[in-house]
Amino acid sequence: MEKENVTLIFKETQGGRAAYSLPKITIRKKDLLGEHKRETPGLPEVSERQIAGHYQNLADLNFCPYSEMDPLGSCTMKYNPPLMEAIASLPGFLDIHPYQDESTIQGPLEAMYFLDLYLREIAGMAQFTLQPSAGAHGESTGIMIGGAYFTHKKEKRTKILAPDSSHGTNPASVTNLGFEYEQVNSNGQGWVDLGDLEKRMTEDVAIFMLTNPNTYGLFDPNIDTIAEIIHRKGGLLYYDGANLNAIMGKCRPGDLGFDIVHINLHKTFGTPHAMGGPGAGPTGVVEKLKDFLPIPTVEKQGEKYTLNYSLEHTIGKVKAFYGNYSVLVKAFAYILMLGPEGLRRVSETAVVHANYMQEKLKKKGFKFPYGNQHCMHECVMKHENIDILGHLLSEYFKKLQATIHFPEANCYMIEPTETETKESIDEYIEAMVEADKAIKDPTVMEGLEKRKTFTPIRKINAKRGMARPCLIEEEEE
Amino acid sequence: MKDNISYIPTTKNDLSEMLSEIGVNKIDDLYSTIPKKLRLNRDFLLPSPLKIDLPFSEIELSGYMREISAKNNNNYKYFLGAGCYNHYIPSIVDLFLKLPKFYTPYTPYKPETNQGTLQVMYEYQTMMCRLTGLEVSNASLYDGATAMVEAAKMASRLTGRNEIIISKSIHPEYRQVFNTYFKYGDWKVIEVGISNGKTDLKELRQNISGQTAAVIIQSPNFFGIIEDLNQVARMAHKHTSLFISLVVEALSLALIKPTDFDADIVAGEAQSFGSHMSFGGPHLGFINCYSKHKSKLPGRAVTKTEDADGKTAYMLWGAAREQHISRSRATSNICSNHALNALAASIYLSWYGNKGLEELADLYNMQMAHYAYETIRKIHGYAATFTGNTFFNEFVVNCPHDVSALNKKLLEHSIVGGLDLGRFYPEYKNKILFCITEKTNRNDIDELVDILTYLNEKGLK
Repeated sequence: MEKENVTLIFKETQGGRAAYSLPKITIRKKDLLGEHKRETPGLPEVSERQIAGHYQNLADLNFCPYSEMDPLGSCTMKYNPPLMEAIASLPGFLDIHPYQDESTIQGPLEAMYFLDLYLREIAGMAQFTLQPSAGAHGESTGIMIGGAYFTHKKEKRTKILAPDSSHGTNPASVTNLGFEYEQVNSNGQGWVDLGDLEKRMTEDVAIFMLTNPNTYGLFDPNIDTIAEIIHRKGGLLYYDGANLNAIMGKCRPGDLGFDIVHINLHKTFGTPHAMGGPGAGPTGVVEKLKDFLPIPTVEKQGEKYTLNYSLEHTIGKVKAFYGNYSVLVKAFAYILMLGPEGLRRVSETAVVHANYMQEKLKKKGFKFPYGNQHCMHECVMKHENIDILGHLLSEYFKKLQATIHFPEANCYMIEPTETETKESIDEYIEAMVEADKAIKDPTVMEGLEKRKTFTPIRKINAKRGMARPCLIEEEEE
Repeated sequence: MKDNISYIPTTKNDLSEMLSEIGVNKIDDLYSTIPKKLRLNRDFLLPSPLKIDLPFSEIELSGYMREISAKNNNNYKYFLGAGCYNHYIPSIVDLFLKLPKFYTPYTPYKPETNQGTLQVMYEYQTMMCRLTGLEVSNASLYDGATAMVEAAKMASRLTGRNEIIISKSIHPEYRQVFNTYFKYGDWKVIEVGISNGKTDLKELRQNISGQTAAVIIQSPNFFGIIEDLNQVARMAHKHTSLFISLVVEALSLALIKPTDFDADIVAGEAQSFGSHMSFGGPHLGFINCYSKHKSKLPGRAVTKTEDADGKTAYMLWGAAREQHISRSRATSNICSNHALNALAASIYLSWYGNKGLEELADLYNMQMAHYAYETIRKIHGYAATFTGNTFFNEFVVNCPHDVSALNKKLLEHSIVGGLDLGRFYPEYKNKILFCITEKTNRNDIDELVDILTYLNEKGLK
């Protein structure tokens, strides 16, 4: 028999068993589909008790930021407050239809109106669209806004630039919208190579996409020169807001010269990552691009909130309806709960925690290629056995692995966030020291490997998974 | 300085210890790389929606949110669908969506610590494929509209062609999203018109050619009508074009299997499987395809494999398609997806099972919608339209009143009426699209009929 942690729900099936309950019904049944009606699809047939057990057992196989510090660099795995979940679950938010009469949706429109106002102030932008479902979706939206702006100005600009250290979504967003992607080099300090940027920034470049602080966890101090280079050639500067958690209340993308900004609400504004999503990627623009935003935007007329579908140069829509409302309302609630000083303290604390981690690890002998500078909210370590270190941490020390091999091979990008205690950061550092010792000493390693792992499986056989994909369970006859 | 900030555990003492370990005197020393002239030297100005200033306490915040959420009297009966469906969601779905071990973890890049997520996705993929008849499913996209965009790009990559044919009977907002995206790059989008509530097949035949990468048809279409998919597939395959079957009301999959009509790719929206209407999002986009096409599939997918001890284990498959590995050559830019909605769908489908889902779709949606249609069309002025077609749980009738005026009147009776088709199709002014689900029972339908009859006699004034 196959060894598995939790039996597949299909294998728990017993014909005739069912969990559902539906009201009594009296209806004269007609044959409406005839021969087009399908055969039975092969869904699970289980009791509700079995469903509860199955999903509880599956949940138990997961590690999560509630159980352990999850220092995934560039992901901002901060604590997700239960209050926001309770708010998003209010029936007046959850069970309403997007096409209901405007008089019956004033509550959610108020939330969206204020969220837009707050994001404008936090990012220094003129207006936001709340439609994008994710950071990458915000990137697509921003690129389309930029594209429409240049088309309107009758300028032919076919290229978009981003640094070699950018998130993979940047180049993927560019090419998937038919633009040409060109990579700008970073210099030895992890900043944009200004000479290279100057050379590549020609008049056929529409946009330069930049994450600042960048993926090395560093704030690029040449940002005003960068903005000047881009604007001198008539281009637009795009802010990838993935790392906004470092700078709230310290500086604003709009003041730094950015023209388009996306913000990952599931990072900086505490909405949960939910195993990959849903998130939300509101995208903001400066005054001259406001009319290009997707429709509708939320406006206030007198005491009434309303959806505005008449924007002169709108790119159209990037999603059906108005955005991931349940996510938006959590971020709105988060901002109300933190307030101006709280948001600044979020960033300050995140930066102190990351620097503390970097300094302490440096003193323990770990290598930080850019460690001669203070980092922002995350720090990047280099380790030649980073895969092993990561596995040891999760298997034998119950510590979640940070981001590995990014932005370069053998890198370990650590982002402790502001919601972790100093004690948990210290424990993580201790675990890293112990794991590193084991790598260097075979006897320690042997001792470790005799222990039961904290993870429900040992190291994955990735080779087999890639070579022999099995993407669905075959139906048993 | 306020001592305690919500969700930040760091005390003054912690802070001074950490700063001294770092070797700086104050926090601002860490921000020295931000040019001074570019810094924000003031607090954010965040206007309060209430008379109290930010930050709110937990008591104030929940009070405020309860107040604004209650502004929506949500004890309505919904006869409105149009791409967002008011289905009943079993309690067990909502409960498990709130487990921290499901709602807080990151994308399962590291399999060893995310086996729960990965098995959920594997089971979700299997359930979706058993419903559509296909062999591979991704583990969610944002929504049906963006799934339609991604499916078309996938078809273009598979065929090497850049022309896409879409039908005007597709959800108008989906077409709007589609047209937004396909303005960028070298594309030709052809929109085929409608004849008696269905895609005009004659027009489709005239437009389809060896240049066509894919034909996209929604069925049940925006008017609830089941399209002649067999004919569409035949036309597409004659030109070796792909037929993308777009499904917006996923519950219809319980009765109609797209591969019975030779669909190559099934894309769409599975909000009906356990996701709340949520004012339009988050919902659940999906794409299913044949195994031979999987290298061009956008979005994550999970494969079964084993661990070092030979124990069954799951991991993400095909990272080479994805942005974090392939960057500018990725099949899509998608990173965050809608995994939690996929979990909702898995639990929902397990709860109903084969028999339950069929009953739900057939009796409580399709048959009940036909009962409503037969009853409403008998009211004077509500003549049948687009007749001779088969519909699922939505249908169109003519309306003797201005539809939005009628809906305002219905609202006084706590009824959210059907969609004013004139909103999206000026040529269908005074037509109304009603939706029936298991949450609108026979009594609700009879009550609606009584009110419509009464308003007919008394007028809307």
